Amino acid sequence: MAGSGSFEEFYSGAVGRLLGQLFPVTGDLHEAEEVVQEAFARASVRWPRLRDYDVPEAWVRRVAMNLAADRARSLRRQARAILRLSPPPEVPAVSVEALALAEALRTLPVRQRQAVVLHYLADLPVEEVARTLAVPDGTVKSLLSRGRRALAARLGEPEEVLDRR
Amino acid sequence: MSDLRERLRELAEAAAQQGHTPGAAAALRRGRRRRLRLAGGTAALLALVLFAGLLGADRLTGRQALLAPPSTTGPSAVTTSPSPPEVSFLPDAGEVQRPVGSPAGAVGEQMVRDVTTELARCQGGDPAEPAVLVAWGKGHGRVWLIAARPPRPGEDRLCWNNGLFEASGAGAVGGHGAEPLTPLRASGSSNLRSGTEYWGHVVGPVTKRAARVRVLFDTGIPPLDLVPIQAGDRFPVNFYGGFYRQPAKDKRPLTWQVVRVIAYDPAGHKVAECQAAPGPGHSC
Repeated sequence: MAGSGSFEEFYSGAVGRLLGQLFPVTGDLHEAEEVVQEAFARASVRWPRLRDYDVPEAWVRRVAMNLAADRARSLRRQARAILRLSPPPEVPAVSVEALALAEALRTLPVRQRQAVVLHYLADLPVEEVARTLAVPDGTVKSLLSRGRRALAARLGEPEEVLDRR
Repeated sequence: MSDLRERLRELAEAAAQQGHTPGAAAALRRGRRRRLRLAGGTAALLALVLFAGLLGADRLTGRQALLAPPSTTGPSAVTTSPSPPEVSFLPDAGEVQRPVGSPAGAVGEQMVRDVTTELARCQGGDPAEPAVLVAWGKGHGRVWLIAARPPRPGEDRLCWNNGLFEASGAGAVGGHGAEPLTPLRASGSSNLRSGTEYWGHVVGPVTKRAARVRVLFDTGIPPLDLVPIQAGDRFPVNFYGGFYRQPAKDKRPLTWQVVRVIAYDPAGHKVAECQAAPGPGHSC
């Protein structure tokens, strides 16, 4: 990927994967589309430099994750009046188990969601998750542990079942 | 029982397959717009610094002139400081047209900005057209607003938002993304306390064929009839909105009392209908 590809090739190769990784973080397909597209827009401006990166996708993912966290915080502020105006989040058609997981993920703090997704879905080691989220390794371990525990409780399943390899 | 990885993968694959992104060309355009905005902001800042610098230099020159002995030669050529370059820098909300006016004061202005800023995020609508505050109203200590962006010719989606605010400006904005264009939609909220009473609110777009919108509720609330608000030729739909009185606070905090919304044409024929999904959620 590095060095020679066009932005269009990079986009078409990575957009689906990033959308898949951002959806469990935002909990809303439209939100995920929005943050991924914004991250790609920012990448397009820096493409002459980004194309030389080993993994330009990691840069876009980090930006998208930051945008998702910013938006989650902003939405929390907007919700101060405790009014429910928006329609329910847009969720793709999936199995009941996956849907339950999507709903359980929405109850986690956004940092925990990000850590869980980066580690279990993007298959990043703890060190890489820490670099992406700009937090110490220990914080990632703690986020993963608390996230797993909370998910297990929400789903009514033992933690070991969720963490099976 | 599948594990966390498998379930996450299923979610991710479904999102990747069913998600819609506007493509690389749109990302490039958006990137260019962003760069222009940033450049505009930087230029404005530079202009300000330059202007302040010149102003400072002028003042200094003026002070030196007072200290210097009077010139014995004729007046020197007058130089004028260059005016700062004109910078066109639109805030994210962009221009907002207000054919129906808008809530008064700084708080009202902030409400309009909240609704239209959220609208600016919607991926749809005609980029050449400004956002429009199509309707707003007051009631029970609150202000509600509807803003929308005219769609592109032939576009089958609609970018619209509604906001509901307390007099202080605290409130929330319902962003509806680029929703597929349908003859009738409804959104809203409930359990809005006003003194000892509780109210609900319903709002949405409706086909231009409709002359009346009837909202039906559960829990014994009588039907509510609303007259659509004309949104003008640039919109393929009109909008409606209003409050209804709840007999008491609804103990089901996430459940909306609206069960069905029906639109009728001037002759009283049903032209559209939507059914609110049972359970949590405030939309149909």
